Amino acid sequence: MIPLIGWLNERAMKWYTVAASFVTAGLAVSLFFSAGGGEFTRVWWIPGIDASVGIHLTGVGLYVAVVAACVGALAILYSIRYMEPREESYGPTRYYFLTLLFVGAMIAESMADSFLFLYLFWELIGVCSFLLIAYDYRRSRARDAGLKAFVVTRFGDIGLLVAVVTLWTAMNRIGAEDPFSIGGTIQAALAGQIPHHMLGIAGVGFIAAAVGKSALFPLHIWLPDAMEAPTPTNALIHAATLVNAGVYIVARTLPMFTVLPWWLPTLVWIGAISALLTAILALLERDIKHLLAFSTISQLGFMMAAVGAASVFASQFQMLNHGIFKALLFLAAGAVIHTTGTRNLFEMGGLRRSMPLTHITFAVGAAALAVFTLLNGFWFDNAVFEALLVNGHTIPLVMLVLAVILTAIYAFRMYWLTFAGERRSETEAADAPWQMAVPLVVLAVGTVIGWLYVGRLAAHLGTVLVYHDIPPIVPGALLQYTFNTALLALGGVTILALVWLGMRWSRHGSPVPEEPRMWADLVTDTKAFGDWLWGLPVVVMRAFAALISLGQTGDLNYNSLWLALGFIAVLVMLLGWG
Amino acid sequence: MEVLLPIVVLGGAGLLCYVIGRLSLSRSLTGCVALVAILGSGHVVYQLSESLDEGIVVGWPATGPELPLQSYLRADHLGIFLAAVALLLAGFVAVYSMRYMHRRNIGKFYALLLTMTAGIIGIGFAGDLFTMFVLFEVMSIASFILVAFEREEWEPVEAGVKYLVISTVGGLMALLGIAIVYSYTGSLDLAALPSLLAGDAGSAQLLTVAALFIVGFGVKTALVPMHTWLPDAHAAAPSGISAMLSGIVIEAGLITMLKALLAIGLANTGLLLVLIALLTMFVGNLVALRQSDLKRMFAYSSIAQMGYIFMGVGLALGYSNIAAFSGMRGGLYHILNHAIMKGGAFLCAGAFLYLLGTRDMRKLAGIGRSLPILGVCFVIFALALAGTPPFNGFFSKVLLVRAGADVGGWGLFMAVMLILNSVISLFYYVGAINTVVFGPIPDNRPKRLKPMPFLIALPIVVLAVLVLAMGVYPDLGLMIVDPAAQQLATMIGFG
Amino acid sequence: MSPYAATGIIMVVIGLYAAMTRKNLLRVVLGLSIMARGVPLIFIVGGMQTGTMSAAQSIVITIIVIEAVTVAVALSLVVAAYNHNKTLSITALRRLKG
Repeated sequence: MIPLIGWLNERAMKWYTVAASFVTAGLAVSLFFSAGGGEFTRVWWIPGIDASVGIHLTGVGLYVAVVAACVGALAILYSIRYMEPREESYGPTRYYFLTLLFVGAMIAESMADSFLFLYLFWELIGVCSFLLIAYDYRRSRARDAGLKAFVVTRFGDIGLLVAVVTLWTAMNRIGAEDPFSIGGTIQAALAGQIPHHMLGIAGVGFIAAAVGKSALFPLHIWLPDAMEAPTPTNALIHAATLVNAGVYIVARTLPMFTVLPWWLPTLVWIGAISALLTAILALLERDIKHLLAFSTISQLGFMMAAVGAASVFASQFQMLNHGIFKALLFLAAGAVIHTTGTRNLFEMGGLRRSMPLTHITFAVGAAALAVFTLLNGFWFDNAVFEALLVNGHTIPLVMLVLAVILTAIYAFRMYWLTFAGERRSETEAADAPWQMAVPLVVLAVGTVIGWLYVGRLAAHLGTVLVYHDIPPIVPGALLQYTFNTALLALGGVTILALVWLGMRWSRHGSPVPEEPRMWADLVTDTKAFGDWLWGLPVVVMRAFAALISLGQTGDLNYNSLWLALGFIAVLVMLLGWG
Repeated sequence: MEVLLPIVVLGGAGLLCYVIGRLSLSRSLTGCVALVAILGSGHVVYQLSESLDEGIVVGWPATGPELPLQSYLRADHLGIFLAAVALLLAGFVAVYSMRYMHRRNIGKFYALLLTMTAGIIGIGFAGDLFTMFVLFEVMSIASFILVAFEREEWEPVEAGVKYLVISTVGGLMALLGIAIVYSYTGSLDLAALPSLLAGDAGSAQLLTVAALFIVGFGVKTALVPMHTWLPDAHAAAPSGISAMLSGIVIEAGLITMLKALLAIGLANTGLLLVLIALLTMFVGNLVALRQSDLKRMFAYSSIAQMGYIFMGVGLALGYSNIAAFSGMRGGLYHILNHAIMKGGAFLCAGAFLYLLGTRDMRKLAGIGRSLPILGVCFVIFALALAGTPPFNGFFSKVLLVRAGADVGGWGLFMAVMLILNSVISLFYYVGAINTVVFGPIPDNRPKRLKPMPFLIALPIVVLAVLVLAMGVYPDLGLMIVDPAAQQLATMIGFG
Repeated sequence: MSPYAATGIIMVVIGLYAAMTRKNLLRVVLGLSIMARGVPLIFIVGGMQTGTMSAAQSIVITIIVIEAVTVAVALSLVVAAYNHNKTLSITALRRLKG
């Protein structure tokens, strides 16, 4: 029931950490299968403001918790070898402590039935991510990236805090016994007890929070910079914890806002724009980790659009799948970087022979990413489209379809550049040691078979989500249905085109198209765009600071003058109002 | 008599400290005397709070005023809150200064520290305007001398002169306001004044008095644009005193202003205070971005934090029907939290200064790694000041935003501004962490630093633990904040 | 407003003016002193108006004591400043800024 507590008071003995993480993962999974209609525990935390710490196993939360626990455990196992060269200079204690805290906070957040508690862990995740991204503190880029990630996500947090406190106020006004309870708040909202303007404020707040945390447009700028973190941390941030929190929170509070007509379409638009924009950026990127980062944003865009289409199930299933295959891709990419020592795609290539295991697992991940055949990504995207079509969002739908096609293209571009063709650098390359290999294999297997559980998951969600509307889904029927849709044709065409392209490229031995490089520099210098969005407010802020600083002359006469002026201003204002 | 006791104990012990320090030149002995005095008056304050809970109002003199006007003290929840915070912080500073200060003037140092604390406690317990002013000046004069304590250096002298002139001008303006009130009513009793002045509400004289109070006491509170002395004084003072100044003295100025404004029946000051608060937090946070001096940066951040506190107080005054309690609770809780976390931050900066002799962050780079325990404490204080969980600053931020949400509309906008400011502040807090803890160690620093005295590290670590404890279990603070906030809310309600 | 009260307020304004314009530290301190003489006048007037002269007297004496202490501290700081750079000009006190 309380695996999270085990997470929090951890010391850094590495294997102990690994054991703890696997035990937690096991507990989380067993919870997942055993929990029925949502277990419920509640402890008073701050009697002064009637705040309690409730633990409520909702379906949505469990998904997040399971993904976080499993991927977290695998990533920690992987870290043992990956982090070895750095340990001497940086100290592993900090790393393992923070990683555990990170995953633990995510699990706690996903299970909390208290907005205050949720917000607390939400920010704790932010703190951990800052400290983990800046882990490599000798490089100033890592430190700056940590700062950037922290500050940008905190912009989203403004919204969440306002939303949480507004709902608290509203619940207090109707005299609720436990004003922070999420379930209670949803009930009250559905019963129409919360005034619409307050609900509107909260709705805006939750969207802002999700956009910041999930790195959606226009707050996506921090995620590529966050690539300065150690690779296992990237896997955690991208697949398991940080970014999923944003999707989780809108999915969790979705029923509350169905009364607001503008809420769902906003989510769809944000999701669609993010998905398409970052898919384009991913296509042009040369750094493998940055590419994966953009791909994450793109995938999160899909999830957000799915929530916006009121298809919570679709978004949750996507989250599960994405968590698995993105972790796989990151860890595999980490293995590649570990041996080749470069992150530039154009310096890799031909690793197929020297790293067979990594090659296969990476291919599985890339295929999944590329909406390939029966793997879960493919199945899932259809579900989103279905939901969107039903709700009649045509333009976002077109954008999403485009994004899917681009996803397939960039996934294969990445794969070809890395593993196919000839070696383009002289470095030695070999498969990773077993601590790194095991997570890869497990994740690859998970990617292949994960979708088989769809029926079970749907049934489970239907029972535990009291306030969401989840239709029961039977795998067989669904499969049949999927293959009957027109989208199958689209998928088929894409696959054929890609296979043909791939074969052509491998036959001609030139998997490196030169043109995209030029595009990359011409069309959109991704770094410059992000820097502009980030830099402008900072410049404005600094300019104001310089201006105000001029007033601090240090001269006693001026100080007295300020005092007299202050008095006159106060007097005039008081008399004016009086 | 009981209510006078903490002040007498502290004052008497101050004299004793001076004599002992002069004769023995022993830092430990003098410090221990001071600590005993602080603990003793803490005990008295605790007893006062217990008898107050039983409904007994303790005042001094015990017999009611026979003369038409008499100065007196009276214990209430607000006074106990202020006394508790002041004594808590003074205790830590007393321990810290046993090793931090030089032995030469140690007696004078502790005597002034105790006098200042006595003045703060007196402000809380004062029952009439003039007593409050006298004790306010006692606190101020002690702090002038303490800021300029190391007068062999240039910086403390310059800061002390500026602080003294500006602060005295402000104090005299407030005194002018008191004189005007007196010449209209012939009374200075805080409890009696609201009814005496009820007929004059909104008159030009009363508004002038309100303006005099806001500006006069606002100088001490470092409201923009009367804040100009603060960065100089807080950066130049000995670090323990910086902690006291930022942690409690400017807040005592706020309590003084609040009591004075409540006595004259508010006179529409709430909205004005909120506007000033907004200005104050923006100025404090933006200018803090430019600082490379660690203590000066914390000083500017104190200005910003005063803005947060004033936001709560101003909302409570301005919207007394809906936000009186939540605003006061947010403001007072932030006073408590700020005393702990900013006090700790200054002590931490002082410890670095003690070892390396510099406050420049670039020269301090990486010191947090050489001293891992202090480094962790520094991270805790900085993150707490930025309002991140699981530290205490987070919870007072939630309470302040609650006050805004209670008001709704415009108040909510102010709350958003407050959180925006906490995001801005993240730039320099995290920037400071990045430099001081994670930054590269300069080449010219000696490999072996002198050992960190245990008594310097101890208060810092305990404060850091307190920051964490109050973040995880905020009820610790609410226990003493809520009665005071309730009392203030009642006073506003009837004011 | 009685002429005494007016005089008191004028003295306060003079003191404030001195703090704003004088470049000599001693003159600034003198300005403070003048301010602190003006306010008691108003207390005296108040005592006369409300018939609580005895209270006003005790208040005024207390104010004078406080003012004397403040000026003593101020002068000692002025001496310290003078010892540092051998001038009483306020413009020498501008090293701390920004």
